Amino acid sequence: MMTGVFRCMTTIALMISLLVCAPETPPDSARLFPMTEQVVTGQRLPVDVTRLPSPVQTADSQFIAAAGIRTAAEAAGLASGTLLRSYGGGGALRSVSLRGLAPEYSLVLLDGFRYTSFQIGTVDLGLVSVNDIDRVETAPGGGSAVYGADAVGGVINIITRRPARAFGAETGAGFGSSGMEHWSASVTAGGTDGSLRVSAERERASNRYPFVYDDGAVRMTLERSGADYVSTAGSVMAAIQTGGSEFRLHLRASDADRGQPTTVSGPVQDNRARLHDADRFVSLRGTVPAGESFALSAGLAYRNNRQSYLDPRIGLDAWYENDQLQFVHQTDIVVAEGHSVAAGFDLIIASIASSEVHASRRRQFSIFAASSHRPFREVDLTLYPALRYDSYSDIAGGVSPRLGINAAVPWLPMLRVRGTAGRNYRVPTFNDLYWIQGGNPSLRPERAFSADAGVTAMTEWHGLYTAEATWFTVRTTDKIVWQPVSSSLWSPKNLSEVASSGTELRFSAELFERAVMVRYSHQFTSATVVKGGSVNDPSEGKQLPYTPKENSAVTASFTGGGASFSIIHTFTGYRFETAENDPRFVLSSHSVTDLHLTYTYSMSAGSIVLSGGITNLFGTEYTIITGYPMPLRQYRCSVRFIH
Amino acid sequence: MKHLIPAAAFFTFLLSSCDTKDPVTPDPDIPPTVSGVYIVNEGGFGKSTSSLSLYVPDSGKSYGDVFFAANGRGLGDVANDMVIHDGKGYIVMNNSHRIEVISMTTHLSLGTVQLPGNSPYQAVILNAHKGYVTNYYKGSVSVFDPATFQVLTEIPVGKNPKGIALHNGFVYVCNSGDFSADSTLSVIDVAADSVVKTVTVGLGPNDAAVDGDGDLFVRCYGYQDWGNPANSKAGSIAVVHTGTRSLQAVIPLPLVQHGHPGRMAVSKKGTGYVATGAAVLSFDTKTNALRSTSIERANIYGVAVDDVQDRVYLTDAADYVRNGTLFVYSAQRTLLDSVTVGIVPGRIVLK
Repeated sequence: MMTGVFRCMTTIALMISLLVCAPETPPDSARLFPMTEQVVTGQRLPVDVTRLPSPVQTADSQFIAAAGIRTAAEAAGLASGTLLRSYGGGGALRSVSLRGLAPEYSLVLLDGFRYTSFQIGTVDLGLVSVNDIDRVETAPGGGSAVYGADAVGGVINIITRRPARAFGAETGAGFGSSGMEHWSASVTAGGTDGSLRVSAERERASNRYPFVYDDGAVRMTLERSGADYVSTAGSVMAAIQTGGSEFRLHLRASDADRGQPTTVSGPVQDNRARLHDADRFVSLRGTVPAGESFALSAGLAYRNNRQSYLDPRIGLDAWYENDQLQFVHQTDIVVAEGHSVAAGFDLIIASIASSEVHASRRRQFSIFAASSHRPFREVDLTLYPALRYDSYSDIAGGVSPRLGINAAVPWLPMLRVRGTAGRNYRVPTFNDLYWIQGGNPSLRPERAFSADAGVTAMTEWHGLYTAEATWFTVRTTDKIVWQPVSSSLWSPKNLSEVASSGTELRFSAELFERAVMVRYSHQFTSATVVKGGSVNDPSEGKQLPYTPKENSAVTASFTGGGASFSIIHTFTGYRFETAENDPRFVLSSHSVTDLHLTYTYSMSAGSIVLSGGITNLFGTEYTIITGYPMPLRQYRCSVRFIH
Repeated sequence: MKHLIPAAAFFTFLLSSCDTKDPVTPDPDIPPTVSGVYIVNEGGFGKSTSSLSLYVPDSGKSYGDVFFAANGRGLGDVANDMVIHDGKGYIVMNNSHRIEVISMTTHLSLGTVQLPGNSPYQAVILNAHKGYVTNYYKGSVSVFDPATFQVLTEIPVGKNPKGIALHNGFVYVCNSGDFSADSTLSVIDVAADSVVKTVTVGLGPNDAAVDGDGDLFVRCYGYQDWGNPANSKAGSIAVVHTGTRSLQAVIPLPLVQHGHPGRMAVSKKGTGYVATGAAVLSFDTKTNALRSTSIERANIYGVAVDDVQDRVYLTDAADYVRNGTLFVYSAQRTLLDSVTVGIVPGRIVLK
């Protein structure tokens, strides 16, 4: 408690010191910071990124490369307000949760299209390599008014690369601990009117990583078994520009065959279960400007995901096939100076066929409008109202409103205050509704009210410094809980109420044209059950299992002379394993440090990039989810040739 | 120079150590030696939240986890069963693949019987040198030495064996066939440690218990077809004559009325109890028929009978995530007491 108070005080001191020590500047903040307007996750319309109503953090390709990040899970999991949940090392399932809520309360987008499955409500971000990614934007805070269902804790938007308009080729190979091998290649070609990028990658590992098993009676170093994996992905991206219009095509196919080891609960592991994922995604998006203040965009996306799970030990052979077709349309209008509107509609048709879930189909139609307004010329204040209506063929829909605000403090232009308040919701998954063994088709969507408020201080000195503090609250009602109907049958019901609130602190410094980048985030989260599923529910008032009250991440990277060095240090506080917060069953707090080194040797034909990394440098023994040990120290190295 | 101030503030912030202290478990004041009712709490599968609760009928006091209090660590993953023999408790840890042996006086761990990959389910102890435990995944029964904790041999039986009972030199093993289908009971002769007979009882035999007359009652779950409920088959209680080791009667439990039967307990005084979705039914072990009286408590998970104090103990596993409840009933079906126990309280063992 005392250290938390101390950190809050030092952060406030840090923000004040940024203000006090800022160089003499003219009062117009526009001259202090870049004012580029861009579409960022959470808004859906072009806005000045320094005037956002709620925080959006971007892990762009430069940051991703410098930090040695390999998957979208790691890229999103380093942002403030997030928690990376991993079921082991290598190819294990990885998802990211926002603002103290479970991963299914975060919406994942791929190039702005819904990527979250309606079947389970989550995305395995460990399967999304950064090879084709331009940036990952993480926007904690309710986003249903803009993006619809499941954006209760926030939105994670994975944005793929725009192919370069010149010929280029790249090939690479990497090797590491636990038999890891990685191969990648890409070719880019293009001119003034269009460009094309074709890429492929493959990774495999025995993944027999070491970990320490310790149940109090027995302590020994073991090797994880049955966690081997092989994943293959390929993509084609094309962009055509003509007369100010742009059309982008993206085809992506990936396959992953992974061992699915069960929990480690003894010295001997018997892991024979396997999970196979086959994912196909194609999207086409076009943007057509129609004058100075009018633009039309439309997009079509189709995703097919087939997952099969085989466990010979218990005779389970299950499969799930999800199809999802989306059409999105949006019109951007600059109504007047300082007043912009984005409005449009989304249409989604999703279906599932499975051995475990009744065959089902969902049609979703949505209309939305989001806008930004600067009502006063003389006051630096922007309002962000947004409203969205969703209707579904199989469940109740509804209206999701949100209002955001961002304003400069008149006497301190580098200090801005901001906030949002709105209603959000999460739809029941296909599993909740149509699971053969107890699904409940009468479920209602979970409803949530969320709000946040924060201050941002920015200043420049050999680069840009940003310090932020954000308070947030999310209250979810009608939470879906699976409960036993009989000794052998479980079924979900809309039962409980959960509140999550906390504080997110963030500091970043990008200096000397980003040769030095430091990012620090720290969050305090209280996520508790307000109303349980029964009278006198003992979980009421208790912290949700697996949700730390405190976690933080520091990333620092230094680049110069063709070399770069980065260090990532994460801290995760203790987590209760039971709903009653029984102190006997607690996952201990842990700190993990990763290092990454890169050296680029340039020559006339291109460049050779040598890189190496160590994860879990100090060999910390830890688990994120009970029974799924994380690896001790691991190494990896790679070489890439870029033409 | 003034720009060093924010840098200093930042690094001060970083250096302020994070709150790494885990919460501390208070030490309960547990009497060193008591007779009582032990509740084996399974905990969540894969979560190592098993515990051993103790209820003392005389004082009405209960103790949340006597194993943790004595040993400073948790039991492990999915405590399915416990057998008391010669002052020791043998706790079958299903997903920890071992038997944890404790002193029934101090609750201190005395050692473990390691059964790697076996998924042990239930155990019986024959004597100081021989015990039997069903191996759910392996389709076998392991024979172990209760004194040295060594595994002596392994006997193949049917599919997914769960319940086990011992009577007159024979071990009866319920082949549940959970992941396929089985309806048999394997009978092991302890002199030869081999299966001497296989008795067909009913679909999905799960529990077995012997009454005062030496008859073996086998609770058969039936068969549940989730995809097509019309294909589901009703459960039953099969009665096996232990002299001839053959099926002598069946107590039907129609699906429409009772659903699939939960756990069962049999007293030595002529009454058996079986949990169903709506109530705990009682049956006459002399006439092999259901009685009209039942304990009106739904979704009961564990059942035990105390013939000495004429009490019935029931456990409610609630949502199988939070702590459960132990209910104490008189033989006349009057609720006497209820206490909170651990997560998924299943087996109830009297000392």
